[in-house]
Amino acid sequence: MKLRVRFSKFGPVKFIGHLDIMRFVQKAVKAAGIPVKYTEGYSPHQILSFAHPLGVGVESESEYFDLEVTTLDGCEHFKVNLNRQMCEGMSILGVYLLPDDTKNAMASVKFASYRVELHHKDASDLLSDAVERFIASESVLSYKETKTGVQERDLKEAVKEISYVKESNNGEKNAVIFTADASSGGNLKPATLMEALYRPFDITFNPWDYQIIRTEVYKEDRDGKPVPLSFGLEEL
Amino acid sequence: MRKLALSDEILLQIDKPARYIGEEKNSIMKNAAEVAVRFVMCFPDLYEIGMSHLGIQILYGMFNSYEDTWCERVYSPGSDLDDILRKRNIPLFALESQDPVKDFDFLGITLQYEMCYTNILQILDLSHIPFHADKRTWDDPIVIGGGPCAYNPEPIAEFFDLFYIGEGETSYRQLLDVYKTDRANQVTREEFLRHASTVPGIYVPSLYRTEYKEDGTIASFTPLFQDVPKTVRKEVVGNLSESFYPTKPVLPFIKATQDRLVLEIMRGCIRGCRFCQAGQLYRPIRERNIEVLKQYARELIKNTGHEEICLSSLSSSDYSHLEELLLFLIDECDANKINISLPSLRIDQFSLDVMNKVQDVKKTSLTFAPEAGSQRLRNVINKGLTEEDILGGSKMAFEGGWNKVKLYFMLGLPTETEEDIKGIGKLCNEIAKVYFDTVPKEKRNGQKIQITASTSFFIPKPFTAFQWASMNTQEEFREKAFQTRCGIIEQLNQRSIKYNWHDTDVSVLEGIFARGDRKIANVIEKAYEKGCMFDAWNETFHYDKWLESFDECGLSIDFYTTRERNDDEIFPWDFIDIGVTKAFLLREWKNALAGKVTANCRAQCQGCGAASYGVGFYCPGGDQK
Ligand code: SF4
Repeated sequence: MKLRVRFSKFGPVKFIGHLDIMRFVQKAVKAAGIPVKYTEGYSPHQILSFAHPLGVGVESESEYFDLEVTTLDGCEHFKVNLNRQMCEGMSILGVYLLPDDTKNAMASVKFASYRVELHHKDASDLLSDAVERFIASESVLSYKETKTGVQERDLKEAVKEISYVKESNNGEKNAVIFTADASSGGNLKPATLMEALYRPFDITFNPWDYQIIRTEVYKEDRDGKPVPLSFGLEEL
Repeated sequence: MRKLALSDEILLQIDKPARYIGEEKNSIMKNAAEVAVRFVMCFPDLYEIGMSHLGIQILYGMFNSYEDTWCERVYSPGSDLDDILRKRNIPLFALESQDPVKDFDFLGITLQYEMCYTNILQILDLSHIPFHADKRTWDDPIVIGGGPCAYNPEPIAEFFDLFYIGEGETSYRQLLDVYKTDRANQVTREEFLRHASTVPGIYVPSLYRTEYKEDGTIASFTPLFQDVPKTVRKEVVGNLSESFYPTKPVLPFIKATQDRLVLEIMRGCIRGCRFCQAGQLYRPIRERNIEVLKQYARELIKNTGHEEICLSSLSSSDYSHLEELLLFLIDECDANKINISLPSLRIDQFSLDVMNKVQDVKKTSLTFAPEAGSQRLRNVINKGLTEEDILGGSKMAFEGGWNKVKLYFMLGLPTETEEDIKGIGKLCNEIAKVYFDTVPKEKRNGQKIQITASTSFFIPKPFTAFQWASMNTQEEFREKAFQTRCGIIEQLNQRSIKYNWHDTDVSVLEGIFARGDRKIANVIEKAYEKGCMFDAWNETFHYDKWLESFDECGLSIDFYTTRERNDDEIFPWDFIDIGVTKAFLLREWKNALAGKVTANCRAQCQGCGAASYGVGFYCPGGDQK
């Protein structure tokens, strides 16, 4: 039986890298007494996979991993039990039943949405200009150096939606909000988009000039529309 | 949400920021305003190394089980963060509260190996605490050292207010109570130290004076006041089964060097290997009750979700219920999908069966530690492992499908000759022969026998029979490593034998610190000022700077290393009473020189002195049997 788990990650634990979070979650699953399935052999490991790695320093409102269990007995309090094993800043938000024929989480990921809060004064002032200019452009090229030479990519094709919020009374900070390609072949890093947005203004960033928050990870529904990875699944 | 001591800007620029944020599972948060004593426990090396250490987990758990105390942790920052902290004048902080170390009541530093001594100065420096104990005020924490190197605390005595000699479980409560009372009564720091000196196991270096003879050896070592004890007796846990055990260890997010659960089955060792310091320090032998151990194992697994567990002790094969314990663990671990990493067991049919069950025979190797290449020298060091044991065990293992053997040796042991060194190659060759005789060609499946011989350099340590011995020079060490290699190449089966050895600079320094006196402190400080830190790491070890420092302090290295000590020399560590007597050690030194072996505790008590604790498993009058 396969399950999909949705969780969030905020605060100091954002400095824990992807591999370490995986190890942490595996221990937590085991300590929570969940009847997770293991591979055979001398060093068995859990059949558990994450949808999309989260970079160091990035927070998230919605992350996913899939795991297989040997039985659903003992999973009644899955969410509560696993939440007890979490550290501050990490919460299990939902547990869903996966039909057996579902593609693994990683393969079904198509898009991800982000909110990037600006700590950089000049960039903050130019927020609306930068985003509107991006929207109005025919194409916005970004260049990446690879072993085989410089790779060119049109970010207009990679970005599905983009907008911004200005500081509001309910505590929202100046931020860029966007949904972009997150498929295994074409994943767009938020930093790449940020560099491109502000290139016309000659602003370059350090990673600490903004806080990236992933807000959702999407698959496609039958009509090719982005829907959250938990969409259409029955909650356990 | 907790506020971190470091900004995102810093954390995103340094290697492994997870080292510095705390928040690990089973780490303890308390309200600082509600506790009377704040203790920060330091392992003066990188986080991944320090997090692998059982002793800190024990003390951390024990302190936090006291309602009036909050114990936190700090480790040596990596050199990238070290730079930033200095440049921006950010004080070093504890992981849990992220508060500056300087604001704590106690800074406890565990001393696991000599090569961390400069790191102690780094910790003090970054915490803005004066190096010298006599320069500190109540604005600074009480700096207390413990662990194996505290058994000769003299080279670093000036940097510490207190040392705790012995096992931490017994006396800390009393020390904290003295502290609480004294602070409530607003006594001076000096008065508190004086009171602390009467707590069992506590050594206050500032309350003693050393006089030297003209030749540099010690003439006398005396307390400055009458109420300060002349000797400090090692603390020992009487009943291990009832002492605190950390069944909820802190689990690091990043991989620790030793990433596994630890089940400590006993303390002490029945074998009296004459080079081994731990074997003497932790006498008498005490075992944990098997039922208690089973319970701990279950709790550890439940509380952590860890995927690996190991047994810890100096010689697990000597645990009296080993078979039952291992069979229990194999069942329990199989049910919970946990790997058992086996300690190095004596090779016999039982241990081979166990290894076969829990490991892939093809991937694991047999391990032997003969330590010396000839039976003669093995008698000198009292290593009760014979060539028959090794060849017989190997044969059994080869029949079981193993084809990798690792052997550990020491070079530079007292009385060592060229013959002994040649013996290393010969022994390896014999093992290869056994393989070829035991496993016929058609059964080898294209596999080859792989023998790996590793040598380390012998360093005489305090509280061993060899504390009087001369240590080899660097040139001698190198020559001996060369001879070892030649001795291996000469062998018929040399293609099956691989030889490893480490360089010698660090060994010399370790030898100096191990048997050093108070004069060494200057050298450590000088070397630190020249930039020495993380001396245990090859990349950051600068031997030339150490040589300069010795020169500038006018101290001779040979005095500490190659000099053979007279029988009646007063050693810097003589004021510590570990139960094992100096008379016994001297007798063992003479036995060594005569090549006479001494039976182990189980076979026959040798009257080492440790029976005086009244708790030894095999000691006359011990109450655990
Ligand atoms: S007193 Fe005897 S049995 Fe006890 S530790 Fe010493 S030698 Fe061994």
